[in-house]
Amino acid sequence: MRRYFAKRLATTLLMLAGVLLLTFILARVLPGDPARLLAGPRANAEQVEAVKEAMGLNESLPAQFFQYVHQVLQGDFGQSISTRRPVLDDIVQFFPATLELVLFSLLIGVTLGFVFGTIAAIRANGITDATGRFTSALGLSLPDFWVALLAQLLFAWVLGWLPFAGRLPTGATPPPDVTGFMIIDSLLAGDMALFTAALTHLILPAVVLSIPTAALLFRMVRATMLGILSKDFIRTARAKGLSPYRIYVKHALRNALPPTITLLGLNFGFLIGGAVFVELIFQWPGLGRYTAAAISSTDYNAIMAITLIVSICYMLINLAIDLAYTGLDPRIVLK
Amino acid sequence: MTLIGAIRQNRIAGFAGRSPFNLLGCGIALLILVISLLGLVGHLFDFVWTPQDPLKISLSERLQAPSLAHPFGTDKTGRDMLSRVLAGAPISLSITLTVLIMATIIGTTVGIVAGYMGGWVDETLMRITDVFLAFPALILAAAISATFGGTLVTTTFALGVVFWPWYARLVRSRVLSIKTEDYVAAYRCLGASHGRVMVKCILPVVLPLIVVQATSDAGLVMLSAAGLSFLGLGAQPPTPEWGAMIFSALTHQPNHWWLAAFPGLGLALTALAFTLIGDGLRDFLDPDSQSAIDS
Repeated sequence: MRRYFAKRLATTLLMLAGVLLLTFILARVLPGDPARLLAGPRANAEQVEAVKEAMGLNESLPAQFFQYVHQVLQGDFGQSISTRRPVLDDIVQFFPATLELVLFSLLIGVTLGFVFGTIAAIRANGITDATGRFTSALGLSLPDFWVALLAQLLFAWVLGWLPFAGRLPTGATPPPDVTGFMIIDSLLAGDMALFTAALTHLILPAVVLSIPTAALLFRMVRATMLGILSKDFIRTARAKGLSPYRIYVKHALRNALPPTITLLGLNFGFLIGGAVFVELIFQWPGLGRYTAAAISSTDYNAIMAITLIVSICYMLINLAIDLAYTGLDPRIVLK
Repeated sequence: MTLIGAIRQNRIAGFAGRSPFNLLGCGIALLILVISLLGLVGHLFDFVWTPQDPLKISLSERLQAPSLAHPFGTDKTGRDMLSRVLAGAPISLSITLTVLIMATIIGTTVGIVAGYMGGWVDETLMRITDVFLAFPALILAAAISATFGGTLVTTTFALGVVFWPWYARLVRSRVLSIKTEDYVAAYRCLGASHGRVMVKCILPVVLPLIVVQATSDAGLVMLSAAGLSFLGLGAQPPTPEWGAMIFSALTHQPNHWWLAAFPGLGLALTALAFTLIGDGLRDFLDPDSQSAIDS
């Protein structure tokens, strides 16, 4: 067990080095004139020269790499061209809004995926199953930016049920910042009106963002459950006359958890991609909208910092999931 | 039943008839294919193959709602949206095809070499693969496109770079079991070089697997390409690319819904066709798998 942990951590460190090398190559080696890119599209020759000097771009490549790693370790990702602030400050500021959106959408997606995936597996090849399979294929095929736009048109503009953009109504004073989550902070402040406002603003973007997660999870839960339901221990459970709840939830679903959790870790990449589009359409003040803005204004420092930070998070999440199950499932260590 | 065998025996009709999902997928795919071929012919012989010229500006007809003359309406410069949406099909399809060809060629090569050679070659190649997999697809593609300046060519290249590692992993795991088969050892004994074994013995066996995986991925690739164009990387206006068209529709909401609705419909239907065919192919080739799960 300890050896496995050590080996898994060592691979992660190796991958971290690889990720740093790849972003370094992207940021400093491949562009013909990296200083030009880093200084931004509107910089003049002197500013470009200053950037060149400051970034040590006249040094040899290995020296530049060490300097790059040194800067990254200190959290120095340079200045954003559009906000004129250190990129890290921007990321820290915009992160909680994205986390709130992503977690809420995960909650919706996971619930939908598990409930309908289980039902579809129990009633395999029936009409419920067929509907579910088609809906999940649809969920994986709809472009998120398009769904976001149509949902906004329908529910906000035409029906007027939900607000069309942002985290709070314009002019509303945000609650004192405790967790950075609007729905929790407003509750902590005891302001129910603000809580309702925050929740209604959150629903539409979160539901749209949850679609691919729900679709992916539906397929995984359904397929895994189908495999489990044909196992002997389920037959035994049925023969003992256990209630359907005990058979399906306690016996079957529990065994379907590990592969689905791995899938959720891999799904993080999709969620971040989806958040970029959803935040852009719903003007959600998070990291996704910041990324979209950085891309459209060629804010190179910001793009590179986000690429690096998001990949590191992605790697750590998957590491945590792997390690968690080795702790939970004794069979894995035996391999 | 192998895929190649199925195609040889003209079993496509049989495949489509197996389930209503397969039929729907094949139907949409056929429609998109016909439109795209028409587009290719139109491009080669330089004539307007859509109802109207997708680039023709007509300011007197700007921002018209759908009507008989313009079933999908017109955009802010009076261009016919139906023609633009149709013209988007060959563009999206050719980007998707190019990305998949690039990704499968790199991925298959890396996967076969790593799996077959084993040892430090395998270890090195797979660690490199892992590094690429550590990046969320859209973010890496955006960073690569931004580095080279976002054009259709750089975006296509970027997506190829993003998608190859998945094929490398898939192929490698299959090769690991193939290479222990007796016929591979027999071929070696006959004096075949390692290179020959990889091309003649192993490649034909992994090929169907790659084709099925590529079909399931086609929708995702197409959506990613459109997404990058939507963010301003990739196709640039006035190119009638679906993602770019939805982006330019943003400033005209909420009053001009047709500007976004129809290009997105093209995108969604095409991606759906690929997903359904991919699912169907997997069931068809591997009935035991019960249904499609993402491997």
